Amino acid sequence: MDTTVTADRAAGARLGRFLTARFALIAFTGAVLSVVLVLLAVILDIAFQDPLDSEVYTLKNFSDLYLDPFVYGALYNTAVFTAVTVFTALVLAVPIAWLAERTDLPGRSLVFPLMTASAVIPGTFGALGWLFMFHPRIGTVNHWLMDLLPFIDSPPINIVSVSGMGFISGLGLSSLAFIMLAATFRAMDPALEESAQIHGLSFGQRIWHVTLPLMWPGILAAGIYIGTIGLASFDVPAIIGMANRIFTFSTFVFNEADPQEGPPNFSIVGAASVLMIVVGLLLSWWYLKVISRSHRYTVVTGKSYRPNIVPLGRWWIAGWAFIGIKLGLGVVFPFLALVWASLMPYFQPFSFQAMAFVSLDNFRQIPWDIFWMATKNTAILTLTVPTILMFVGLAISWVVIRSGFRYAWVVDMIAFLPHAVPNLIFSVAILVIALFWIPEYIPFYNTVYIILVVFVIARISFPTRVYNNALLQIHKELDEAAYVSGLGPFGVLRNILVPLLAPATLYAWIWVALLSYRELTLAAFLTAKDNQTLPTLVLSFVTRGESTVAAAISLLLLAFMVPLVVLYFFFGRRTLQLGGA
Amino acid sequence: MRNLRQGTMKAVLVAALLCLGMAAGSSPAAAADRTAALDELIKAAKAEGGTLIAHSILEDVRARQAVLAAMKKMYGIDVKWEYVDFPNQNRFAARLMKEAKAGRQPSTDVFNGTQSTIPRLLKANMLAEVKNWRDLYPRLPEDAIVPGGGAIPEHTRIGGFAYNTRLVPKDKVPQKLDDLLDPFWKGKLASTTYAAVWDRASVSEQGTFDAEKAARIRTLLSALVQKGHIVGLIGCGDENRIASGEFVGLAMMCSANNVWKGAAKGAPLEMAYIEETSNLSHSYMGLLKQAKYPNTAKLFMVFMQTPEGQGLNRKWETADTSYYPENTMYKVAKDLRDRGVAPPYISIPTYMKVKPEVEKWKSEYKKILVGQKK
Repeated sequence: MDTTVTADRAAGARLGRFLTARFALIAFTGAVLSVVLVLLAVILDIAFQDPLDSEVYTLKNFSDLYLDPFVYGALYNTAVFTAVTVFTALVLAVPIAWLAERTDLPGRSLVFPLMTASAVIPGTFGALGWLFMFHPRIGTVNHWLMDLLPFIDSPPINIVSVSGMGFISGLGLSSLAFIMLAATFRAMDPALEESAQIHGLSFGQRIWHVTLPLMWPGILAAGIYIGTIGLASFDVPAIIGMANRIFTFSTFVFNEADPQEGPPNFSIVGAASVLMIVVGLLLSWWYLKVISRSHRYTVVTGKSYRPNIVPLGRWWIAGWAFIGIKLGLGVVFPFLALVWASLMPYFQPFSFQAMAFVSLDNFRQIPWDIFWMATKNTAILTLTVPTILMFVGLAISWVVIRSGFRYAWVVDMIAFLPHAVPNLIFSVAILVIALFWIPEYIPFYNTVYIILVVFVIARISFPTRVYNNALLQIHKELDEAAYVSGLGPFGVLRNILVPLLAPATLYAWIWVALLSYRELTLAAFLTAKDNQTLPTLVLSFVTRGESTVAAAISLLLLAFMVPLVVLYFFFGRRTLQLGGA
Repeated sequence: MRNLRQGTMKAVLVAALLCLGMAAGSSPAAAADRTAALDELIKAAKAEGGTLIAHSILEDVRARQAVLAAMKKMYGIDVKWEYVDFPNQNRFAARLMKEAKAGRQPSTDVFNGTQSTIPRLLKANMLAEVKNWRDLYPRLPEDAIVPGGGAIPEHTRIGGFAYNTRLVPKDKVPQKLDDLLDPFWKGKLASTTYAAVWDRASVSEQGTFDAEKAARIRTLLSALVQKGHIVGLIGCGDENRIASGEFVGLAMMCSANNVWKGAAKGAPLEMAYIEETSNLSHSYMGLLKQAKYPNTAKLFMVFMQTPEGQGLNRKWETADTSYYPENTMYKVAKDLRDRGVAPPYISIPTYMKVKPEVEKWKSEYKKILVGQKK
């Protein structure tokens, strides 16, 4: 009898601790997400404002946008562009993540730093580099092919098309997809694969019938995430598309909202955001539907967790060749374009005649006082934004996946929405708040902190996707065993989940750091005299037609990233070993 | 062919010699230009601490250093320049208007803008009222000052057709708009999303708007798009994409100095003057009403009018105003007049008079260029 009472009391105390911690985490999550809701409310307010008089509310922005047949052409282009982007990114990322995490590929620890390196090269230069290689008129590769193959009388490759743009965009985003998938591949339990092997399934059958279905939620999450980026993508569609009169929804909206001449019309971006919010909600609903059947995909259990390594044999050559193609096209090639541009007095395709123009004059034109101020601001953002986001993301994901909270799906949808809304409008909304709601004596407007807040809110979906995905693969039985052993939710988080999530945390931290380091659109609308960042400094030179100086600054930007990538290379490998042990 | 560069090469050389002359020592004009009002302004600027907050004028850091050194030499004041790096003037004007609405200190004291933004700041009553520009600098003509005195010219702009000299044979350089319909241009032309230069082609110097001409331009633009001659949309700051050969010509380029700046670096760029469209206008320096250091800002604006200031602008930005006989743009405008092709000068008051018509037609042109309308 006494034993039963004691056990009941212990269970009651455990439940009490669980509920208290759950309440605390839900309250914290609610507080953070309420900022998202306030920003979304401001965006909706902007969407209904008359662009010429913010005091007047109207539906004109919606009719202007959605009754224009041209918009539907742009939406069609966007759909094709996004589909090609997602396809390209996943076709490259899934095999590379598998090679890096589940095989004995020689030098596989190099794959992550190399894949992340491509993320720091500004998309603008990648796109320009591709133009120089594959443009029908000035593309070097097209010229070579026409010289080599005399029976060809017109340029064989034309990158100036919707699918061409999608390919370039997918190539760049494959690094992000890789980072999202690598942790999942690493955490995958090999038991089902081994049992399939015992039952005589060939290597290809095992991949098709076991590995890929097990990875499905992770691949879907990455696909949805990349797809949403594709919908709002601006750099490649602007450089290649808009310049060639091919409009996607984002370039059309941007062109209307932020013209080179005439007053900006942010209301139209607000109206466009409403569509993006609906699309975001639908994608989020789909994603949640998949994770509602999450128990089918649990891969890390308390019973046996030992990642299996597939021996490649001589196939390692093919593996590295595949990675080499991705890196060559996505890293080496834009990097060389960047170096070349930084040495030229004006932008021009590579040629031996142009070698005569090589000089370091672009580096002499860099305004060093502004450059160092921008470097300091960028460093603050690069270090603080991912750190804050890891705490916030883990709290949200715990509430969504582990808390059993009835409205967890609402929490997850709100956390996903910032990703779906065009970044530009977030900056416009926070600017309104900073100017009109926050008193001048609080140092917020025109400081790095305004950028910090908007970066955290806009990127909140990324760590939550990573943690949602990783938490799904850690079986609840581990938590339950720990609760029975007397740990509370915070204890479980600290002692069980955080160590198991270390690889995912590191992946997410590094990636958010890189995104914060290179983020442009959000910062461009918020910077003024005292809060420039390095990417906005690059943009400022591109805008005034000094692309070659912009290339020189981009190279320095890239050089500053080397320590971060090297740090990851040494520190990250160790953490992965510990996390996976 | 009316080619600006060939027609004014001598003028540029003379201007360059003048620059060299100025570099050797302070010009006599500078001493003569020193007035009592200017002395007062220098004192007031010194009392402010000599801090200059100015936006996007002289983008090269070496140019800004040269300006500060020249101001010290001329006025005996150590100016510290807090440069506001914000090249998108439209977005910055919108930001300044929001700051004013929120009752905040503006992000800059001196705003650098064109006809696209200065009228908006004027309308919002954000520019300072300055009545003594000519007391400060008597050479500045009265008609150069924007009504109310809130802005004065920084450099003169002349729009035209920019092209790649390596890819365009001399006999294909357009002299009139219809020349762009030549099949040679198929697949080779870019324009701007904002119909730069096209939009003001129907405005006269007297402030009248020629709707018939505007309709003709609409028909021409439509034909250029439908025949596949205009295949791209870039910005006036994208002259690199003409130099690289991605596009062979830009119809039209906002300002010749963009082209000349590229050409000075060896880029195969040139500007052709097309009588039916080109016009003269200015880029202005606007003094904000709520400027933090208004006297230093005014002193800088005055300095930029002097031969030294204009010379530095010319050296670093290939830009100066058409108001002073020693300037390149003065000679360019004179050369064109001498050849009987006077480009109309569209001042801010002129532009304000015809703004509704310009906006209406601009919207039509934009739709055609973007593809929203045939």
